[in-house]
Amino acid sequence: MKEPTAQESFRQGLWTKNPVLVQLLGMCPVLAVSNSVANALAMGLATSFVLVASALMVSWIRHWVPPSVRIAVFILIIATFVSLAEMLIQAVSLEVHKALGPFISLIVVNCIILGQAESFASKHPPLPSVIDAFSRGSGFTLAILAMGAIRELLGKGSLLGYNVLGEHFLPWVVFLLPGGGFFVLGFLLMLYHRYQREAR
Amino acid sequence: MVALLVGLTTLCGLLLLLAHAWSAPIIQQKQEAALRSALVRVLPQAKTFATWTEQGGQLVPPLATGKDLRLFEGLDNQGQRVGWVIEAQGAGYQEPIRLLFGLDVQGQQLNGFEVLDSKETPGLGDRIEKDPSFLANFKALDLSQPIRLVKPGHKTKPSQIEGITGATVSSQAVAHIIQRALASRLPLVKQ
Amino acid sequence: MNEGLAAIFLGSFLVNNFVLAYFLGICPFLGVSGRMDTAVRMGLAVSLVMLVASMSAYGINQLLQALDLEVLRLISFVLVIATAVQLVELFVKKTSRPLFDALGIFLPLITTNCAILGVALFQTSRDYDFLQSLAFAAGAGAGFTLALLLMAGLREELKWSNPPDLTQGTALTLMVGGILSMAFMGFAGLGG
Repeated sequence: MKEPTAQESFRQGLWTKNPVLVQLLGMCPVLAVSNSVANALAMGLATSFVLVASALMVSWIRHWVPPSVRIAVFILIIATFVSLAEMLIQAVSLEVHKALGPFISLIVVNCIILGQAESFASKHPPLPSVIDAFSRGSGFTLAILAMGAIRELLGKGSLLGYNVLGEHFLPWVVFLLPGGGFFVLGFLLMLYHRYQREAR
Repeated sequence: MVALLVGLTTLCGLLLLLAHAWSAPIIQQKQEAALRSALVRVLPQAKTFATWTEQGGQLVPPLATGKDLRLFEGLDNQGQRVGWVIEAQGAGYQEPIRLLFGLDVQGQQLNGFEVLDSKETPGLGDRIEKDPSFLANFKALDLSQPIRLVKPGHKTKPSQIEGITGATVSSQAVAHIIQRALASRLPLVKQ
Repeated sequence: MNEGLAAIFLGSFLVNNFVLAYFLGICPFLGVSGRMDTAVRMGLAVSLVMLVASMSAYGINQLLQALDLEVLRLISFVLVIATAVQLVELFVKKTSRPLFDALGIFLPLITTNCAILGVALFQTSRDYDFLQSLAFAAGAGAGFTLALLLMAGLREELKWSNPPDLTQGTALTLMVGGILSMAFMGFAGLGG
């Protein structure tokens, strides 16, 4: 099978095949933990870490795994790395761990990771797999960061906790609520489609 | 095939146990440091804290693995008791709220408060953690009468807690958690 | 924690609806909510697996706590859920052919449904006992089904309307989901 170049991988992962905006995968964390830039960043990094590590692992063992049990094996590997990520986050910052809560464990069922393992890492050598995983992870991080920035800016008037819009800004709390998450993501999808159409 | 699955599971399990052995002490140390700084904020007069828990109406030292709610006895440099910090927990809007509050030596007045753990709605319910006028309730809350939650702007007595507009459920939850904790903890403190 | 069973059920059913407040199970919510009948079947399949998964997760968690092996919780849950889904599939196949034909293709997909793992993780982090866990799982399943049905009903109606073409597809579904989510916040007064 022909390997895509690194540049091609990045362009696809970040933009033309962005896992969130185009493939509509991993929507749960994008909606749930994007109410501040800090949370979004932590979630994006943790997911990318698991994505890259599992891609490497899956690609290494791809010749030894019989097709009938491959999904079970992938899930096991992913769950192990998620548990590791959770311990790492807790050891680095209790605050971040508290803010993300059960959503760290839920990275296991983020379809981006299983999808990447199934469709790419299990069919390609380690290096291209890692590059592909990294670009998809960046695409996910980009999307969740955009959500986090919009929601924190409009919902609290701040970015990363620093007040940006000044004292007189009346926060639109709705953007921090679950409903606001749906609205912002819907809006981002519309913007993306509009841009794609004009580019064409 | 089965051997592969079993082998892989064992390998993953071992890896996790190793990682746990490395990270557990660091995490525990961080948790203790965080608890300690919260205790000092709630009861600034105290220099050290003795940890207790309740069993059958008596104060006993907590078990190492226990998940019971704790009482912290605040002591000054001479080992004199200067107050109490009570750990309390109860249902919030979505997830449980865990908090600390400080009492004077006789249990007459509540004069410190801190939320340890909560997932209240950002922008609304989470104001129980930082809204200055809500927190002002807990600088000197009179405990000689039963405490009550009142609507914002209706506080007339020092035993009343003034709620937050737009965070009714969360402020009710806090008042309720404190009421319940006081009912079981005050007799112990007064002993 | 000593919450009543009814309060827990109502909580996960309406007040903190799994889909609309916790964003769990979004993929099927967006993917399978196009038609009423598929939505009903997906909802049933998820509710069934949720109950089974909740019971197994409770058992496994007791075991892990007794052995002091809580680090292994996540991988055990994932394996247990995958096994539970397989067992449910076998059981349904053996006992009721029509039900199997109806749920068939949805069951394997559920293994990676975050709502199922969510139930297992939330009941553990809240220290629910066995009955509380069951009430929680039943409410979560019912809530998931309700959200899916509401969305499917709305989308069937939307077919007859004519929204601007930029908003068509997932973007529109998300907007409608946002409005539903806001509406569900009104249930907060019920149980608190």
